[in-house]
Amino acid sequence: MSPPSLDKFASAVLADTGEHDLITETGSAGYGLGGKVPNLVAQPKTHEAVARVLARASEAGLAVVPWGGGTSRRGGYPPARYDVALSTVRLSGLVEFLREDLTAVVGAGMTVSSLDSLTVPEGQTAGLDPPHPDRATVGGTIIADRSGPMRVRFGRARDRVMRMRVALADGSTHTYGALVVKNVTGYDMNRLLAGSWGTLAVVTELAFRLYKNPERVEARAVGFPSAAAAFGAARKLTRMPLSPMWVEVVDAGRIAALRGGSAGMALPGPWCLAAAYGDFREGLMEQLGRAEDLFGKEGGAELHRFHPEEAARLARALADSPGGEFNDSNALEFQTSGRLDQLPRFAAAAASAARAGGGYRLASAAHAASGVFRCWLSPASENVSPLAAWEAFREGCRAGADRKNGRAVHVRLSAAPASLRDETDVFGEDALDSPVIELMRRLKAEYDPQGTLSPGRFVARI
Amino acid sequence: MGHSELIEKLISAVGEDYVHSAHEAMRTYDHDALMIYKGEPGAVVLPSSTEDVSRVMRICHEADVPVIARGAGTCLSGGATPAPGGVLLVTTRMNRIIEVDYENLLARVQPGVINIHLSDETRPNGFHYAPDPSSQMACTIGGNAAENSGGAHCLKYGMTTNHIMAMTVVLSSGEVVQLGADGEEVPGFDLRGFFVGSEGTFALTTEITVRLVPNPEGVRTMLTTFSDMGDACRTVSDIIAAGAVPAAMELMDRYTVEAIEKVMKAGYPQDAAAVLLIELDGLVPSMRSLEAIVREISEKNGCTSFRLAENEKERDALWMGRKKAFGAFGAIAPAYYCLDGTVPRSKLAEVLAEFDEIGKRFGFIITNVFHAGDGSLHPNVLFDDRVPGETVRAVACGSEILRACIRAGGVLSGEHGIGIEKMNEMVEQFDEPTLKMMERMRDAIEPTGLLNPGKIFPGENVLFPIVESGAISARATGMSK
Repeated sequence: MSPPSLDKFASAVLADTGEHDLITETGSAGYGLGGKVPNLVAQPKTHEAVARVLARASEAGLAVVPWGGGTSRRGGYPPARYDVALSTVRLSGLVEFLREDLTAVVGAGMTVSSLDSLTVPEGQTAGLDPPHPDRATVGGTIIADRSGPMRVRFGRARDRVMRMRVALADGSTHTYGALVVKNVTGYDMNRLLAGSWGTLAVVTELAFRLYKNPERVEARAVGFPSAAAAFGAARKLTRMPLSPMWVEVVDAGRIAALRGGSAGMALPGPWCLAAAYGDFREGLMEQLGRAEDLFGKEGGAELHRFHPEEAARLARALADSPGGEFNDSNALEFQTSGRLDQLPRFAAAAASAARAGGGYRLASAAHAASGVFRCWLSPASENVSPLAAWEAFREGCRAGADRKNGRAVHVRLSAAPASLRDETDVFGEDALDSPVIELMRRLKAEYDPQGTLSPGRFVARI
Repeated sequence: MGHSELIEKLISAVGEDYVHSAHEAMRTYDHDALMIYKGEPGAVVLPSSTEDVSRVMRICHEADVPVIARGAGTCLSGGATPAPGGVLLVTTRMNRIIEVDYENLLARVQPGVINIHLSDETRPNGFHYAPDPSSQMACTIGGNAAENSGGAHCLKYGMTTNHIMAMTVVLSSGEVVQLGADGEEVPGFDLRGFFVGSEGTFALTTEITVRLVPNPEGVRTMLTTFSDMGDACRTVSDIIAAGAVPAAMELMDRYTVEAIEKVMKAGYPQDAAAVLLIELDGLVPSMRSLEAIVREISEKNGCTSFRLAENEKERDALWMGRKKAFGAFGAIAPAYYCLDGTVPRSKLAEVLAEFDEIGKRFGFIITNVFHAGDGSLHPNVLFDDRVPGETVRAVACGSEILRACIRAGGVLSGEHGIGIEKMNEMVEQFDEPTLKMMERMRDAIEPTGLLNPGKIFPGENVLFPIVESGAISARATGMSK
């Protein structure tokens, strides 16, 4: 039985939109977050309908969580309240593809794979590479700021957004940015919204800056005996005047998962440095040649060469999560970032986390030219302690780091059982200055004073 | 707090030598590179550290006096024009490169470091700071952060915001906070990204960590000419669509070429309707294929000439004309007003034709010299500021130009910022709820209203009336961009 406020909400939305199938109770169990299941699921088809849903939810005092592909469901805090899941599944169409201007305008609910399938035949790409691209929506990728290996080439996911249409909790709608690549007209609202985890507004439409795909992309991979050697070589590679598509360092656990996974990719180990370059043929051969020279000088072994098709497969596999046992409901995912020379410390912290947790199997990967480190822990025994693993990772990453001068190391619990997420600082916000958190609270209060949108889900349980 | 008490407190905060308040001294600082609006500060303070800035901010907060940050004063939108009677915080002394970390490709600098000084320091070691506003010989990295400045090489390397990792800022409460970090992933809303380009209205920046990039190994510069501006614009689009992203693509129209050739012999053909300067960079062996692509596309679009700089000297010669373009306008008019509307690349030819029409309607020549690769225009209204009323008419003409950019799907500003200059046109760009939300964001972050008031948003209190006679961007012969 739905409480009266839910009924009132549903009938108000129906009266506003005339759409009988917009609100449903069916299948709401599939939208659970941290053990909380919404009563209703809203699936609006238009920007205007999203605004109506939000306005009516705010009136009824209901909490709404925007929902894309559900790929962040094991991250963030479980919402404090959760009445309605607002799915963008029906906002998934192409609005405009301006090939000449390298611009695509799409509904926020379009999946990353669908966007690729529109642009790639035209030789263009938005360069988005979150995990699970066939489920992850472009809206979710931007709102959770999921940037993968290609960030070294194209920048963060948020850098690709030219224009954004959003609906606010009170039902008003805004458009930020324009279809231009250079824009300093007013505040950079796109950047504020990107990475806001659905706590400020619901994004309904996105315009992406596209890039021309390189004529040819190839990858190379070599094995190193230690993390220090692999990361050291990656640092040298980064300092060369080359322009990689991605530079990744993966450990033996990740190599094993890649070999055993659906991609069936074989990489040299125990620590593998892999890098891809994209260019016109002449330039590509030169870049690859120089990368190979460096690998040799640095003592890299077992050089593997990946020609275009294999390189693309490898890129997809590296951008994805390891899957398999690391997909287990008790598995953990941690992330941190820092200076390039801190990466070996992060790798050591991951190893000590696996031990301190009482027996986890470990896989780790780093965007080695961007200083971003991720690791996945899968329980290898009954008696694991996720909290001990997380704390060991956090302390290990931060050991010796100077919080002054912007040197704080931010450590995030990217995916974990809700019980662990409920008892720690999931986003690593304990390393932020407290006035910064206060600023965030004030911005949230302006956008969503009633706490309608994803209450409690983001940093400091905003 | 009275004025003399304020001055005393400021002196106690930063030292007697670094506080000025004499009327004559104040006049030096009453405008930035947008000379049409002026505001005489009540005091000029030159802090040397974050602590100084925090102390000054606390004093001004207590005294309820506006605070305006100023780097080198090269802003073209009035961002550094002081609110009358306010305290102008000049970052000249905060010019230290605190640390260069070559291992991690980071540099930590004070905000008063002149843009090119950082690259001068790091280039011999193989790295540089990529954002290069045309004023990079003078402008400061703090000012660049406030305005999210662009430059010719942003086409390939991105804007200032893409190169700032972290900032130390002083809030209007005087609190010092860190935004961003050495690492890319920072929890919460992207306040670093949100503060960059906030034009001094959110906080005062006192330290900035920027990324360095490896110097390109090879650079090739070429000059192509066209008898039709549309052909030149198509060439620009085609080059980008081919995937050959040059480091820079600068387009100059007929009037600009005429002016340049009048004051210096850059060797540009005088009969060309458009001159396109293209710079490629990358590995030396990559240059050949890129060059071939650019040449082929230029020829396909009917270029009338294609010249490749064979050496450093020739390269400098090709760039010289572009760099001196703004100064050269003096050969054809006493003053100019430089705007920076930006449009989708495919609309370039269309809006340029419209600018011409607008110019004719006002009786002004409008020259164009701009970053064509990212649709970032610089239309210049040429006028005679000695004639009463002409300055006001030039501003009105500029406003028409900006409206044309918006109609073409573009924006008011690609790299100069809104400041005072374009605040009245903000209502053309944004609907009321969107614009109001931006104001609410400012008020949430900076509740006192003391930081750089009277900018960005059209308001009832006009702090900066137009100066009836006087150059706008600059005396035409006076400065180059």
